[in-house]
Amino acid sequence: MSDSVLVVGGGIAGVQAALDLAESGARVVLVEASPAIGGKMAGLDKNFPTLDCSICIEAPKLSEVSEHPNIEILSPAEVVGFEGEPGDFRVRIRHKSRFVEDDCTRCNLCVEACPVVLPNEFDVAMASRKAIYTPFPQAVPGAYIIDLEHCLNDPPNYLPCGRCMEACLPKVIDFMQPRERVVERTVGSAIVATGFDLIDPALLRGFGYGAHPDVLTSMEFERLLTSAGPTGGEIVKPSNGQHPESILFVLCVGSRDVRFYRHCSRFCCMYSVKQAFQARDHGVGDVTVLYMDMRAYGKGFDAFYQRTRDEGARFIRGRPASVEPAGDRISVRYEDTDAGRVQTAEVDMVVLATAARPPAGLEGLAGVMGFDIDTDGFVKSRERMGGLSATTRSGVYAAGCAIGLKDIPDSVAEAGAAAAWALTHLDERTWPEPEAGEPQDDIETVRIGVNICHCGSNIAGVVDIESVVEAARQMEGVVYADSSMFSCAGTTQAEIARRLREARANRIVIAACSPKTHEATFRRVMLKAGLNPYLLEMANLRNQDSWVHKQTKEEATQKAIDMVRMSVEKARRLAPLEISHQPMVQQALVIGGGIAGMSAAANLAAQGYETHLVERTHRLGGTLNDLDEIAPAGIPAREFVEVKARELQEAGVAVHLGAEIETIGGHIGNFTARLTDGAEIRAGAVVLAMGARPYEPVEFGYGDDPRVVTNLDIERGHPVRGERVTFIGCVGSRRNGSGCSRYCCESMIGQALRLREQGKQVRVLYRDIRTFSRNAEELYDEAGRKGVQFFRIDPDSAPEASVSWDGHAVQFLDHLSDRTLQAPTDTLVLTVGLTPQDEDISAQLKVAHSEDGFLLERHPKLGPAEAGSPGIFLAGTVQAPKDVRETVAQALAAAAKAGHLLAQDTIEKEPITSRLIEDKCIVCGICVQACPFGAIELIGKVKEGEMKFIEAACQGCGACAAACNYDAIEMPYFTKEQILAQIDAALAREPEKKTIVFACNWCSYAGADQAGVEKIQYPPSALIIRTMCSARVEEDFIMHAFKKGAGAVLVTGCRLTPTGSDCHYNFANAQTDKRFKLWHRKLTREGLDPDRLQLAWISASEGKEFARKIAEMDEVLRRQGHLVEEKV
Amino acid sequence: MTSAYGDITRAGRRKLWLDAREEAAMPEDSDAYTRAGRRKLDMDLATIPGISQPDGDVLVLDDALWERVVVATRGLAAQCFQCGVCTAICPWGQVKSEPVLIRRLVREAQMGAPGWPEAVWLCTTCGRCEALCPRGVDIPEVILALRGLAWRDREEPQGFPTLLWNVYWDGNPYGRPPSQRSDWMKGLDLPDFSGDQEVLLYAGCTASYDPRIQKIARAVVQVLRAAGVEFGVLKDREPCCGDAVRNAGHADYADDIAAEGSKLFRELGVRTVVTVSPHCLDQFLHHFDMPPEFRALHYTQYLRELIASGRLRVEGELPLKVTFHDPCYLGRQNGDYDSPREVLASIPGVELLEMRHNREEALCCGGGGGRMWLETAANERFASVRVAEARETGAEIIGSACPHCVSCLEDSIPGDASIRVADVAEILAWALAKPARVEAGVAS
Repeated sequence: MSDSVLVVGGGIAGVQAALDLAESGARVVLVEASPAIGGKMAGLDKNFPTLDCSICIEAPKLSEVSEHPNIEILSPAEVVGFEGEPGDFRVRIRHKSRFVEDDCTRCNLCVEACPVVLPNEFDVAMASRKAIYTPFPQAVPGAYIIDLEHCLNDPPNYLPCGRCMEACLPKVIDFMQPRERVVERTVGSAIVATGFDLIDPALLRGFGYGAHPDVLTSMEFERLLTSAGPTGGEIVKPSNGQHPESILFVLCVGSRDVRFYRHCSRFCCMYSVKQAFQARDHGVGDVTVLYMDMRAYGKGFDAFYQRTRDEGARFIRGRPASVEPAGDRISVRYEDTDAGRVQTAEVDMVVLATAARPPAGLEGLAGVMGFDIDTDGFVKSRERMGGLSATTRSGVYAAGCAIGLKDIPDSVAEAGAAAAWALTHLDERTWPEPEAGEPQDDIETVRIGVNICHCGSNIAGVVDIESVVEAARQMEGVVYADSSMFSCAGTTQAEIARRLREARANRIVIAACSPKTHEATFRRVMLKAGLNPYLLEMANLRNQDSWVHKQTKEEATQKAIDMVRMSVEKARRLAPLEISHQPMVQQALVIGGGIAGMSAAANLAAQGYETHLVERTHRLGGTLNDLDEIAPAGIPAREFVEVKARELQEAGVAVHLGAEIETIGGHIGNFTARLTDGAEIRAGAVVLAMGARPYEPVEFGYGDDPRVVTNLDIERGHPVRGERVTFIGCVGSRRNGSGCSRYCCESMIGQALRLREQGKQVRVLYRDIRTFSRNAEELYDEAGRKGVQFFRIDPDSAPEASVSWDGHAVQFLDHLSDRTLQAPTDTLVLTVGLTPQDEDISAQLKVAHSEDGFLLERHPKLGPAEAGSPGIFLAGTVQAPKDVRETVAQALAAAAKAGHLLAQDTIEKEPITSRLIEDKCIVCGICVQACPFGAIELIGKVKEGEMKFIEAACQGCGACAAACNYDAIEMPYFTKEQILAQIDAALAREPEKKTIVFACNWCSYAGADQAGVEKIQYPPSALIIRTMCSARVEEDFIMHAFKKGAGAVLVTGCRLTPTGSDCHYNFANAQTDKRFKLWHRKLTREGLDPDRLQLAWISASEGKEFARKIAEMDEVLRRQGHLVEEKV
Repeated sequence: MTSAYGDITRAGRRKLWLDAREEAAMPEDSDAYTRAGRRKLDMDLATIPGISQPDGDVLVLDDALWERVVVATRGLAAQCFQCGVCTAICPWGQVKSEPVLIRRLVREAQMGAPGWPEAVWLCTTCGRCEALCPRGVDIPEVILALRGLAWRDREEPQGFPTLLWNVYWDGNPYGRPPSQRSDWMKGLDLPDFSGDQEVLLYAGCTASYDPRIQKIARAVVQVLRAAGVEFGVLKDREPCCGDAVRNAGHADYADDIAAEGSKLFRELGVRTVVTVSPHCLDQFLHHFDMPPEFRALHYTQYLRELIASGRLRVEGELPLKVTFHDPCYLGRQNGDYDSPREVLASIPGVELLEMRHNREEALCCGGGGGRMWLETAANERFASVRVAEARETGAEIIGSACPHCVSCLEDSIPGDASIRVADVAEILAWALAKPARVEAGVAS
């Protein structure tokens, strides 16, 4: 009997696995070797390609882990014993003492007292720490830790110091704690997520490391970029503290190099592109990147690469032969291989994208836990089991970089996959009650606390925090206002809760970042403070002020005060709300019977949920049925499908073959689908696994010319005629906004190698070789050695533009020799990309699409397997192209997420659903028409009968409230009173210079956040009021704003086009559109300048569009201003 | 060899033309069969979709040529993924106005090596590129293999055929009479190698015939005697090791030489051979077919052993600043950077100064890869760059341990420079002699 899982490693993969497990009711023992969880991600500045602040999106997860009652964190600790069988392992863990008890307040006095100065690991030794320290501000668990190895007090008191103990006021430092203790736990399964290490820079003298202080590793440069880093986010040369005018980035330092590591480290290309982008953004004039193949394989990666080039970073294909000091500067010699010219560049700084390697200690852990290590040093996987999650010891799984290098979303997906496997060994679940503080009495008298976050220098670098604090103190109802360095840090959260209680405040305004990312965190703080979580309001100073008004610091500070005032005014009108519980249909529906759907369904059924799998063809397996071997491991595809089919059968999945979804609808906890065969399926969670479609080429005469085939034709057994075979990569990929199809390079090289081994002449025409997957670079190496010829065609255009085919030979410019070549060819193989599947299921379920046409995930880094709408999950290529391994990993991640939803018999419903105020209602029935979900029924006749509001069906859009002419419908948390108060507050000062922007929670508000993330600057004249849907906006809001003198009003919402809508509320934005036209007509008739009231559709990814629109509105304001002046 | 357009024969082209003409509904009475008309039609053909005519700038890939390269280079050329490190590091880039495009050379090889650019013959096989190659391609070996193909195509440069014939007729690349091979040991009274002595001292062709290098061989003898080593020499029977032939790119002939040399060594019962030149060492180590107990050592390696075992001790003080130039064939090619340095360090008073590029990064003297037998313009000699680097150290002596290095470096010492070149054996010999003679040695 076991209810626990051991997770080894507390980086993002381990953290995500722990959360996925804990949310599903498993107990987790999380063992981390270093003093804090968070891993490498915590030390990064921004993530590619979204430029999300890394710690900002990771910190909420870290605090969730540290607060989750199902998770026990042991850190610093290591596994020293592991015995038993799946379902019943006994683990022994050596847990080292921190010597600081948990009552520590992080006042930092001990640190100031400590005389020992040491290099700080978190800043990769670019800054210092003391022997008593906290690794980084958001670090969990615990607080400070004493580094006993360097503490003067030990060993054994040869220099009796004790300064920290003397300095500590609460007396929580205890040197008498035993140095370590061995704890024992029983677990049902285990997940290894020990991440990766970076190559020892001492080996990189050939790359100039150590020869000149301004030659940095990428991690060192990342710390320079970080506002919380050693230089406060300034890029400066370690040699003299000056800003560099030129930086050279070098890729593949120690990777793809037989002298160090043969493998591709997979993420360096993209983080280097990101760093180059940031360097340009920091004003570095000359930014050059030396690369070998640009591996921009993920969603939006190619576009980001292009954008970085547009920003002025130069990308040169080459590799440095020497990096040497040249006076103060650094001389780098390389060949620009596209130009065929040797260059000697003198630059101010060199950044080395250092190879990632297997983590130190992995072999030792493998010995203890009894799993195998592969020849490349990473965990060996039983790939035929599916994906890369299963180790050679049953019951032990692996996730993240320990089992092959990968970026954050892939690690997150794999963590979900490992969690899904790990759960199958448990037979007991635990559901602890949330921890709540002693409830506070007297909620009626408004007493507001205001906390303003510096966010390091993210906010404080632009906004004068002191002025905002001072202004907040003067606002009505505010009992205190203060500021914190990082409001989201675990200890700060505790501090905020303490402060609330102390001041007997009963409402709080957190002026920090976006509620979209951090509202849940601060709601938990409210619970701890004994307050209703809905008595919280956030002012989004970071994404919507400091990040977007960097140049106008004074105006940004004024705007911050306005934003805080708006929040305070709303907070004054907040009322406690109670979460309701809605029934959950504990069944799963998986749509699509390819490898993704099969993997997800089999796992969900194995977790114990009734699972339905719907496949429209008569055969399971999808695209895999067309494949012969799966590269790079060379697994027979059919065998793989058979294994999965057996799994499905054993798990008892109800498979519906030859059936299509006719209609599907409903909401989280209760979806209903009707199939073409008449069957009706109810499900609490839906997994979309419809897959992607191989591109059907029209290029190179495919279809008419029998000599032209696709790679899939070959997989299907189409004979390869003749002896001379030429492959062309990227057919149908990397053009017109579509990205890299990820699977094709490794698959193409696998095929090329097989044909070469049959004795054929094989040529490959490529733009970039993207063999980033585990063992794929090795496959590329082998293909070259065996005589497959590789030719680089124009990397910047689609192959049909750079290669011509006359039926007998292809002709192209080889960029490596700068010669036009003709390759006589008997069979031309087009390696085709993946394109989105066109289907209406996602439309019926209101799942949004990203720009490339694939389904949009909840978050590109941390939510790759979830759709934006709750209860819907994305498995496999339906979200983006990927190879078989990645498909399986993501499918299992989707299953894990769906699993923890289904694990409970009710779901919590946010209390933001509409409420009828009966004494105002005249039973006109107009709201019935307005509701997009049929959640309002009229029983009886108009004006006589009775209105019935169905809470379970209501999604909280507020379209009904906006339609009601009698104010008889209240939208909790977005009440009319609250919104009017926000308008008043926004217009309290210089209203004619303001644009009131109504933004919907899902798209346009997120678009505004995105503008911040991308640091797209726009004028500080707009003030945003968030509602759940644009359909919540009523006529009174508009009129009120103009009456109060607003310069302009902008209504925004999710995209609405003639062919569809991104609206999360079933075309509710169509109502916005209709109403807006009415208001506009009415107001312009009364003489309003038509430009002063506008409507714009902005999707979540369109930060640029949001900024452009606000700038346009600002022009309107200025024009108004001129008119006024002229009149005067 | 198949033609790229082998399947579009004359008849085929005419058929294609006829098909095309049908499509174009050309009138029957066209001028297709007049001379001018045909020329015009040929031009038109090129514009018809589906028929492209390779013009002068288009290279048609030839599978046979490619396979020839794959076989000759044992797949090494195919492995290169064209990062360009080799081109950027190649020492020619430091002396020529235009760098030698090694990557492009390998690229041409990857396309079947059409034409034989000068670059093939410029390589000194110094191995600097190989040391940096991320794919671990043995680039010097690729280039030697390409030279081999060039020989087959009769595309060799001036100078190399003479070298081969010299070895063929006289047993040495200099074309000097075999009867003068033991001139260098005049007056030393060296014993014939009998098979019973500890070691065979192998002088090699250069030390045998080049008057400057003969001094090095004599110094080695002096040192070995000081250590009491029992050794013998082969005198006029000493064979050429084959290094010059192999580096000229004629692997087949070099293999024959190695086979004959091995046979002789086996017959004589050679267990340990000590060489004056690291080039000979390289041949003995990698190309001679000898029993496993056979040891080939460069004399610096052997001396290191003697010093370690206490058989050789230098007592006389030699106050001298020395910078050591690593020979490519001792260093990068055979991985020994320490032996010569340790020998120098064993001399009391010698101060060892390192040049900016040392050990793995050392710059070639320019004499390897058969370059000793080809002309190099005076302003394009690596050795000049190397001497300048050596002068930066403030050393009085550039020490080396290879006949080619000593010759090249010495030739590049400017007239006004006070720095001198000496072989490690010579420096050691000075130390072993009286201090008064040392002064004279340095001054001479």
